[in-house]
Amino acid sequence: MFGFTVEITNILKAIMVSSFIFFVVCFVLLIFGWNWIIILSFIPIFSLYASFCIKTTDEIRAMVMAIFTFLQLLIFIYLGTVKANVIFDIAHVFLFEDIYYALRIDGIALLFAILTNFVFLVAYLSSRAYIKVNYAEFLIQLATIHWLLLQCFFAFNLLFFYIFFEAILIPMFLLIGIWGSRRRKIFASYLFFMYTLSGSLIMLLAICYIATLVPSLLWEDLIHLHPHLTFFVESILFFCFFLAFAVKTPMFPFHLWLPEAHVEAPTLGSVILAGILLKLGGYGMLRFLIPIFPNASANYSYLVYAICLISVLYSALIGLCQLDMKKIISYSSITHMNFSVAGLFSNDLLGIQGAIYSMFSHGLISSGLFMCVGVLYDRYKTRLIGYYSGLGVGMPLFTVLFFLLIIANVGIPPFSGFISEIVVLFGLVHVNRIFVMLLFLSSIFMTINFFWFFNRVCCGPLTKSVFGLKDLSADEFVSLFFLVFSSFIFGLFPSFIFSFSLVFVEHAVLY
Amino acid sequence: MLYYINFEIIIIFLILGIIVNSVLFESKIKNLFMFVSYPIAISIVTLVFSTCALYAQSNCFWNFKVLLFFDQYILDFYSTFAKFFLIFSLICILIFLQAYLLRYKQFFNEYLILILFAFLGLVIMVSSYDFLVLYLAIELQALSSYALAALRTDSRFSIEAGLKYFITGTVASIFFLLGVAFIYLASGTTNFAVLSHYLIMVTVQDMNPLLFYGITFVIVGLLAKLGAVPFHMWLLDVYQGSPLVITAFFSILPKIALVFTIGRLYYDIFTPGFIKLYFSDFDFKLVPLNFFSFDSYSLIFIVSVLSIFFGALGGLVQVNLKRLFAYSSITNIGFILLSISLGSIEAFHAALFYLITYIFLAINFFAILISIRLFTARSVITILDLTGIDSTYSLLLALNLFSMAGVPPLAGFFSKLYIYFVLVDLGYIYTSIFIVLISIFSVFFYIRIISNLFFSNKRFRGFPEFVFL
Repeated sequence: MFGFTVEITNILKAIMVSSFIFFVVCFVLLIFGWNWIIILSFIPIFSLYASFCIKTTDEIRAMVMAIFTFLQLLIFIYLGTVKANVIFDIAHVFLFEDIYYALRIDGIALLFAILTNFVFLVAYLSSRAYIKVNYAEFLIQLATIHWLLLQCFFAFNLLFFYIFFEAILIPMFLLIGIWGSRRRKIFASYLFFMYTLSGSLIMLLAICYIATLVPSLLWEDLIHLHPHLTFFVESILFFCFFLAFAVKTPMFPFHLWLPEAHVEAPTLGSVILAGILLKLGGYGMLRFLIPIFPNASANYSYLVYAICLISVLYSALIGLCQLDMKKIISYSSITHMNFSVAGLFSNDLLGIQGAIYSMFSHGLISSGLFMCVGVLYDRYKTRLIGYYSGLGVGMPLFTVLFFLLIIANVGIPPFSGFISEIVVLFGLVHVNRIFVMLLFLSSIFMTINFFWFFNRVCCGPLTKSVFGLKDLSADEFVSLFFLVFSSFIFGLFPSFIFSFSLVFVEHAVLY
Repeated sequence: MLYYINFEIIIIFLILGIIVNSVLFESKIKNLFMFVSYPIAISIVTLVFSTCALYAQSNCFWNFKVLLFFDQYILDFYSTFAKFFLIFSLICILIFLQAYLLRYKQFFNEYLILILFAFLGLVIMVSSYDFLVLYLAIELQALSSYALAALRTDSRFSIEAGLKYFITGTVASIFFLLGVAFIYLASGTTNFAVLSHYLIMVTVQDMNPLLFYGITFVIVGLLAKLGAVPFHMWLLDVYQGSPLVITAFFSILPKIALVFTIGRLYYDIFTPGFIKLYFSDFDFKLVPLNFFSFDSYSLIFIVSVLSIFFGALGGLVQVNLKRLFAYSSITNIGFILLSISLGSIEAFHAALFYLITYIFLAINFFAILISIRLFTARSVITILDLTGIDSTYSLLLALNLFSMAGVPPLAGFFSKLYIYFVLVDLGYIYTSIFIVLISIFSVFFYIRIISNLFFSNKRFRGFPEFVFL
């Protein structure tokens, strides 16, 4: 932890000065008529500005940004517990003639914002451990992605959702390319960029077509669109949107970019990618795809189930034969995300709630797993499983946390992974029992895979290639423990998350 | 009458003054405050103040229209708007010229004089209201440009560029003139106002088929000057061979004037005839030249789609940065022509918005290329060195390229969005899908430069200081 290495007075001074600058910026913008929700969503940028105004080291800057992120997290949790049921404020900033930059907060948006802040809090705290060169630039990329994600989750205008959804490509492309480790990173970053852009440009055309039909692209105008569409047009638009979100999720034919991007990205890039960026696909389906095109969603739900089933089984099986640790985890992310997409299309309260819960829990757990791989890569400079054996002898703390994350990932009871799987399966039982059994099969494959993975890495005799064992440092321990602990807590009290999404699911998603 | 054209007179006196100055005195590259040379400083100051003259021309700004010299020369808001952009771009080009000539340690007057002559031609072009005046303006611009392309006497590519530009440009001018002759034969006039009136009054059966030959030839001549796809082969070699500042000039100023001229022809002059053809039961088989069901809207439509297609595909394999920008400008011209060809007023707004975005992006691109060391500026591969030399330029170049690729929060995205929206709104669904798929290809070659800028581990040395405030 930085607090142990840097004098505490320096940190306090930095925090005081930067928070003074921060509040001055906020106050000025409030006077200029900015809505408080916009200011709330701009906190990453403001804290970046404030931390770069003071003359300190980059470690303290990361610390300051982590503290602001934590405060923002507390605000979001407070807002969520007090008034998750209401869509309670709307912010309009005049930008073009008919296009409003509209931000609004409701339960779903707050839930995903909380997840974002969880992951970014961990990322800011542990960033120094993983990033050795160009650290300040990395912080800028991180804060930019954080800001764009919050904009994306709060955007109620479809066009602005699209703009921020696409804008994340720029910092993420640079993140993979600049801080990636190997020569293949260029190929991986191209793959990431081109896949996502191709999917989204088709969605842009669909947005243009919708814009000719509705008075504005605000969400509440869009949900009244479907009675005016013929089924053919609705299906075409549905598939245009579905393509963009399926690439982002990713679903079976469009999943190839994900393992490449994960393997080549730096550790924190993988954490952000698995933790939140994949959820953008699910969030887009939840917020826009299903409410805007309910007829098409109902009609094509079996097609979606088929794609989900293919990708779930395929990725669970193909994960079994991987040699790279990050590839194993990234294939398991494909499994989990497709699980939750199947839940989203179930048209059942339990299924959709479980899907949202599973996205949240996967955000916490997969970030933790990628950080574990990052810890190993940091020490031994390889991610191939064959070089590891018997880490439990010298790294007990790591082994315990890694084991807890693995049993959380495969869905063993006290952790949130269990709740997410079981609730999605409960929701899907009404749909088709054979489908549920096949989906559950993938869970068995994944359990086998991950226990075997743990067995090969942490058990057995110690090999020469992991000589010079060094257990977790303080900041690595804190960030990993934070993720494990939050997964544990949300597994014990899942109703906290269900209460966020209940109103939205009942009113908008169920048809 | 001279009161109305005081702007053009100022430019002519500026050119005369610089010619006299270059004959009488020897000018150095830095002699005013040891910073900039006299002729360039005087030109920039004159251009800045001539905007006042331009404003005085348009004494009631939004709604004036003055026809001069027997209805051959028009001053209206449209031409004034174009002239403002021409002046803005020319000032940028002159600043580039100062930076560019620094490496010769000597000031060459011929660059400045020829650029100003070409500028005068462009100014007359956007104001011309008669085919003969338009032809003269195009020739004034073109003859100066042929010489400009060949100005780098130490490079064989430059000579080649000048020769190629001369031959193809002359052929294009001949086509244009032939078209004008046909139009004159068919309608008895070369004046825009009279021709427009003629197209309104004449019945379809009385139209002479030569009129359609004429219009097609005129459009082909203008498209060849613009470098749209079937006529684009000169553009690549000329852009690559010319001096860097002249490439910047070619890729910005003539595009503005030609797009505004084509816009005037389509939306002011030819429209009544086309509308009449669209809504009549005229049998097109009577017309000998049955070319795309004989309306030039679809001619320019096909040309624009081809431009987007070949510009995007051709750029994929290019290594030379100037050649790559030439392909990129073909794609961008394709987008502009596409939305001009749609024929609604909103589409024309989209075209002008795209043009203005393109101008700013091109100015930014060439400003960076001229600022960095010249050996670096040559190819996509050697631009690897840029981040090591100056990270400010590499960051700005990356943002500029992302904007050209059309990634959302940047200006290039909004200009493309407007065109997509207009396409979908007017029902060109298949075209819009095709354009979107092609523009994914064109994204790739911008991304390649960015990855060469940043992604080699040894080169990246952090963002510039100003990012950290």
